[in-house]
Amino acid sequence: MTRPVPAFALTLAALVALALALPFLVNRGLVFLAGLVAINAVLGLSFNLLFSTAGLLSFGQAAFSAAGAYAAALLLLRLPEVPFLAALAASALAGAGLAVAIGLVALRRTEGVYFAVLTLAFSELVHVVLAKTSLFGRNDGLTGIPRPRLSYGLGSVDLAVGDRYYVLVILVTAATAAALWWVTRSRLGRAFRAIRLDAMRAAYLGIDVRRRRLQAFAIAGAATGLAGALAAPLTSIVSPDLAHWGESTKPILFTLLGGAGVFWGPAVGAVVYAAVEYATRSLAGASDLITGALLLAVVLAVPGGILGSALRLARRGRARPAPRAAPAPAPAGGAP
Amino acid sequence: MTPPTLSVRGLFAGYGPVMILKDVALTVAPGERHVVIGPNGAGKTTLFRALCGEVPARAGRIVFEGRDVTGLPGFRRVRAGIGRSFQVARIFGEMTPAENVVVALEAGAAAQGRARPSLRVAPEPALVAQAEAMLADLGLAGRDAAPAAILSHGDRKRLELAMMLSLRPRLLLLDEPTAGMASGDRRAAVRLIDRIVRETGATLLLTEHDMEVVFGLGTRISVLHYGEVVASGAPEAVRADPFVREIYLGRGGRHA
Repeated sequence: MTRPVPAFALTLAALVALALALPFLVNRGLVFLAGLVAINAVLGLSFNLLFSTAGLLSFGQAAFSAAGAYAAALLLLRLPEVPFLAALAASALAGAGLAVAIGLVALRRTEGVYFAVLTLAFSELVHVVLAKTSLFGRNDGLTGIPRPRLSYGLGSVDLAVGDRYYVLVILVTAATAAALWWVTRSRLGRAFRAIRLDAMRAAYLGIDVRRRRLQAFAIAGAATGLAGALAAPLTSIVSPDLAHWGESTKPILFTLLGGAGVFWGPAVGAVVYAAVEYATRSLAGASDLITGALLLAVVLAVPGGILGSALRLARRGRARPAPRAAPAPAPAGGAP
Repeated sequence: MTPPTLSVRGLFAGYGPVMILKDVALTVAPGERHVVIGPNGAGKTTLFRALCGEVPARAGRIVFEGRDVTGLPGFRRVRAGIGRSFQVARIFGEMTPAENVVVALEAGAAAQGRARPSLRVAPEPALVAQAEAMLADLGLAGRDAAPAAILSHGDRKRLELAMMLSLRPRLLLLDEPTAGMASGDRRAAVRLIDRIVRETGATLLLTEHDMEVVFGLGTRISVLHYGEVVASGAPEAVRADPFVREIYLGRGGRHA
């Protein structure tokens, strides 16, 4: 067995190094996009903790990212004296708190399609509340969210300057990814996995299934809220659209695209999704069509997702070293 | 006098409008090996599920070691000391056999508040060693790398037993532990259960179809008929009971 911790740490370090090198390689527009991709990756990884580890299909993740985004926006606009890292923690708490509130009801019905529909319904409720409440700026949302300063005893860093906020985004998303990975592999993650594989069996080992599911939902809600909070100062605006169901489908797409069975799958999905969107950005109208068709093609033709299939091919290549004059393997998508 | 391990009084249970169990009473003394038999449709599985907490009791009381567990959900009954196996063994197929047992051990530790906070991503070595010893004891050693899904039917049953036993239950509920086994495997399973019960001192309650198993394992037998207990007693007494002979054992067949 490979040692899991060093392998994960190396991967994460390589990704962080690549992300931090980006401002030296590409223009500011792309760096901004990379920040959004990192945030989207956390949304995908959180969704996948629910989906692939705990076996819960949530269609309402947008509610939690919106909760985090609005919490951060309100704190930055109304209470600028709150340290930004505390504001991020508060946003994660907002995501987790909302997840617990929704989960207490939605987790009563986890079988079949009920949970997905209940989470969808709740997130639409959040959408409506955001659009109708003056504290949240109604339909206009909250605008002019400043990039914060980080100030501590020794001095302060103004994150509005240059790419500093991007660096913070990368570091916080990396830390969140590490936390999610730890949850997936820990004792708690093993209990989540046991519940996904056979909830009845898990219960008859003395596992409190509903409580564990609520914990998974809260943890994913916290990470999702944190990701939403990071996006608010990056885009400088939050609007009720953040809680629209369309936003909830994104982490699902990232996960299917990159591969649900692999930890980094949703992150790969987020990168590929952004790349496709970027490449087709000038084809007004056709862009969505192309993106959609591509997603459909990958999801239908590459069952394990991009990363899942790539890893499978690599493993197969290693298992059969250099078969003589073997024909080139068919591109991913053939029968397993 | 020590209280009975399990005491069931006036138990009614069923599905929807259909009441399967009618006023079932059952007492299982500590150390007893109690076998519930009955023709198909007599309500054996429903009784089993009601004792586990899978089917709610509509009326009556289920008392385990003096504690009323009637209203407790399944996982709390497990935490109280009741172990349960399924008719078709349920295991975590994607995990290795050792991981299956480790999950059980970790669940047991968490339930008892023994699980210390830890940053570990791998299970604690002590738990892994315990799991491997448990597997070796049940003849499942050395199958570590492969997922449990590839285990044979009999091995799955043994793995499930290992998971259940790792929680150190004081009452074992086994639902037709030899269902679907060939007669050679069946005898081996009976020997294994017999050994486990002797080694752990656990009390046993099982439902069973096969008369060889019933009379090979049971020290006390209850006969269920249309959801009611029609006889309960020592194997010989039950075998001699004319009513039982008529409804169940009669008509020549060993398997009714």
